[in-house]
Amino acid sequence: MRGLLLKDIYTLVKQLRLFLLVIVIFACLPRLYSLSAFAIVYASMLPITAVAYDERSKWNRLATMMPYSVKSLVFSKYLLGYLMIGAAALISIAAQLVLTAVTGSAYDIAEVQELICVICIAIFLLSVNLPLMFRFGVEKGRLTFIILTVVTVMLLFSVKDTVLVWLAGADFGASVAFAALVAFAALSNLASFYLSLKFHKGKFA
Amino acid sequence: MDAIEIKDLTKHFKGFTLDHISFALPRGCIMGLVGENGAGKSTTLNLIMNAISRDGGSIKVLGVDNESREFNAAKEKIGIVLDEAYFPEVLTPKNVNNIMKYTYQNWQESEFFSLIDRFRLPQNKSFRDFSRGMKMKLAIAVALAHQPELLILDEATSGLDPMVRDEILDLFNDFTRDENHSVLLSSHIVSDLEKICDYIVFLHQGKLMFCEEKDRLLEEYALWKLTKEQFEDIPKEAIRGVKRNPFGVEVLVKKDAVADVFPAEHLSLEDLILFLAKGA
Amino acid sequence: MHIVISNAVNQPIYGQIYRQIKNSILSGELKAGDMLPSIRSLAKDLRISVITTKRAYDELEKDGYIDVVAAKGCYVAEKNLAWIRETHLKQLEDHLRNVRELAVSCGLTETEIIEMYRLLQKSE
Repeated sequence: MRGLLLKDIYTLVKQLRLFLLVIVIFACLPRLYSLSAFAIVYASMLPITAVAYDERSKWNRLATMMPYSVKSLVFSKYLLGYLMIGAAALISIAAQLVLTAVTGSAYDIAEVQELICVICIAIFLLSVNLPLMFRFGVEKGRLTFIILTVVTVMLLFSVKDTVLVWLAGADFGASVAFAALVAFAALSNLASFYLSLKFHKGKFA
Repeated sequence: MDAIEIKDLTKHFKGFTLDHISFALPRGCIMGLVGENGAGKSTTLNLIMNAISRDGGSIKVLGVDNESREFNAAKEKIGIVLDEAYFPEVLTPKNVNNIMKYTYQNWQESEFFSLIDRFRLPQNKSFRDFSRGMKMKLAIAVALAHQPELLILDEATSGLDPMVRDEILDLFNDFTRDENHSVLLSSHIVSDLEKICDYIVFLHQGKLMFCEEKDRLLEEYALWKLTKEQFEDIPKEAIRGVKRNPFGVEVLVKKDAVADVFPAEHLSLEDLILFLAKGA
Repeated sequence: MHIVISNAVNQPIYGQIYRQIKNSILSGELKAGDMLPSIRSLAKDLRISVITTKRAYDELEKDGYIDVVAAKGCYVAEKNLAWIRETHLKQLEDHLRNVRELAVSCGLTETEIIEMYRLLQKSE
């Protein structure tokens, strides 16, 4: 597993320097532009790029002949997604903390709520995308991916305020709503993993 | 014990069937898998490594059924070289070392770098800029650096200049100095294999034409150059392949089916296989 | 010991090895008890098939030229040289008997046969 992750990280760092820089810059920007949300969503796309590089170098044919199980081949891409989303979120939080310290304003707890929302959405995106990539390959998978991203971003914008208002005004408390959201993201991820496993098997020749 | 044991292996694709293939590679031997492009060589190797699943038959590798759970452990003892390096091209040999360190339990870092040095490969350069020969050497260093007992190579020598090819074939030759070490290598260029193989497996359009000891094979057949009249007198059951030209006939005969009456021409493995493929 | 494998001659490779080792033994270059290279290392050094080499050694052992001691190695067989010479003389005698029969059927005299043999010696 470590070897697989290392391979993807080497490849991403070497091929996508600019893109990774954009993610870091977006994550650091003040929250009001919603760009840090983009940073996290972009980060969730990185495993898809990694799948694309695998496909281009025909890595999978070699990898299935090495002592990797299909499970670890699939799971490494999810793990890469978690790592990238987590890294973007951490950078974002760190940047906000520095920013609030510099400007002297208080750190708004609503921002954390928003961040968790975005992370859940990113994980959901990852959950939808990876099985598609494994099933259709990157070429066709990418098309589906673009459509999905557009739809999700539109959804994100239209729903964001309502959800936040609803969460702020809800009587049952934000914690339950968050738990539901996190549970949804986790479940979608679990379902996605099993789908990926099914699609990935025997697709190496 | 055989390093690889294949019985009745069958796999169907659209427009291609690998048809009940059976052969065995004894330990300590080098086996060449030959056949035209599309004969089923890569399919066979993919099936051996269980990278694709078979439709019928059985495969044992290093004594283990390759669809069983134990096969993952057996893979630790198998070195793989495909027709290209198949790593993402931006990686450097140093990167590859770090990745493989966490891939093979027996990974020998010092062995890997000594091979990299021996092959005169730069450690810190993306192998995107390597020549084909250098890429293959990198792949071979990976395959040898985790103390394998079995090497499986798919067209690893194709497209290499003769110097590099010889260097690599020597390496396989030395690898089998240990009687527990075996090699299975495929190529559509027969002369690459003629030198070092103990056994030759010949696939043609998804069918096994023969699996034979190489030197015995050359003893079993004879190539004759005859006039048309002489050709007419040869018993038909002895003829395995015929090449006609306006002035005469070249004929491949099975020695045990005919009297040794005409002077035999020098027969190379490549000629033999060409004749047999045409006769099929 | 020298062994040269040629692909140009039409003799099978195992036969080439057999003949050359046999000649080294008969000429006294290899002495009784001398150790021969192992099958595998000889095959790998000559870059030829292990099986072919094994076949040559098997033939040499069968004909009494070498002893193969399991897990130890292959040695030039002891005290068989006299016996080998004996066999060769016997073979020679058989061949000569054939020569005589053929000579009779061709109507050749003894002097003519000896003359033929001399010519053969010269041309070689």
